[in-house]
Amino acid sequence: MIDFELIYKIYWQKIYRLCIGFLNDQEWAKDITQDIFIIVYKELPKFRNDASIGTWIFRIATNNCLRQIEKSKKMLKTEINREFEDIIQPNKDKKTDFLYKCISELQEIERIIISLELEEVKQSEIALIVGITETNVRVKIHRIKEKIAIKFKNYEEYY
Amino acid sequence: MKNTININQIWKRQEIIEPNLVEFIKSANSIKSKNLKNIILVNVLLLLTSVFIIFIWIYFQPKLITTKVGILITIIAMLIYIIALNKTITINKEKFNLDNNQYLQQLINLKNKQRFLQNTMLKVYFILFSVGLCLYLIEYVQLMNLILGIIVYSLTLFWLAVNWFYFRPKIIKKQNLKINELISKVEKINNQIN
Repeated sequence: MIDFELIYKIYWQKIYRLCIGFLNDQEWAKDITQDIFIIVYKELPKFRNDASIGTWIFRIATNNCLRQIEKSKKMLKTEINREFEDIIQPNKDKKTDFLYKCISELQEIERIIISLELEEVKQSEIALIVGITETNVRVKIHRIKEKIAIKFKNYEEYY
Repeated sequence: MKNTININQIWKRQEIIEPNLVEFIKSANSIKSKNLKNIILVNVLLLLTSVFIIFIWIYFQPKLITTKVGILITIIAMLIYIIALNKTITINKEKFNLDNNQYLQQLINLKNKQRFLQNTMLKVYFILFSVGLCLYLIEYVQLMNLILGIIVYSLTLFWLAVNWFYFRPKIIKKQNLKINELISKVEKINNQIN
């Protein structure tokens, strides 16, 4: 039996970052992280070792993120709020914000792939989570990193 | 690669302290699934509707067979509608432990099923309800004079036609719009994988 407490400690941060990467909204990400862990908590007794526990948790997490597309209007609303947040919190790490903003501008599946890659999930495991081949994962990661690198280069030149 | 290392470091600067585990488990245990709540609500509705119609039957003591058949058909119409609603809720139970590709496919299939069920059931419900109501009225219209009888039936048929030609398409359009929008979004994402 896998210990839920251990999963909770290891994965909460990772899943939260994954959700922010996908949604680019801290409050929304907090809510979804909680929802994901409720599913993990309830489904854990049914978990069989046909996939690694990490793959299993990331599948639940990424599918829950994908499910949020139904509520995309909320996203627009909170993006406006984020601008205010930036004004209120001048010391906030701009580079981190910029990275998450770059990721949130990618296509949905790209957001998932790059978030998993940045969480140091093995590419073979990313393939199992997304449902594509490992080669495809490698190609996509390469392209996404290029896109982000260009944006960062422009960003650093500008500031 | 310099960029990769930088991005990795920046990514991990986003931190959060996880909520207290004991509190989390307490709240997780108290949350009943939304599906379960909906199923309970729908079934309470079923029960109340049946009780109400049985009450009408007992209270008015109809004499003609057409009235009884009319009531029965109306009950069946309501039962079918509520059973369909129940079914929609249960088919919407998603499996989250699939890979993204399978999950999106599952979502498309579930939404297609939901759309079919809603549209078909609404049609069946309206037809049965209309037939039931027309049969039910025969006994009471017989007691009226011819002109009043014609007026009552004309008004009833007019109202049923308004329901069929105006409200039904409007409801279907509203339901489909939401589902179609979701399906097209999901298909778009699924294309990013395939």
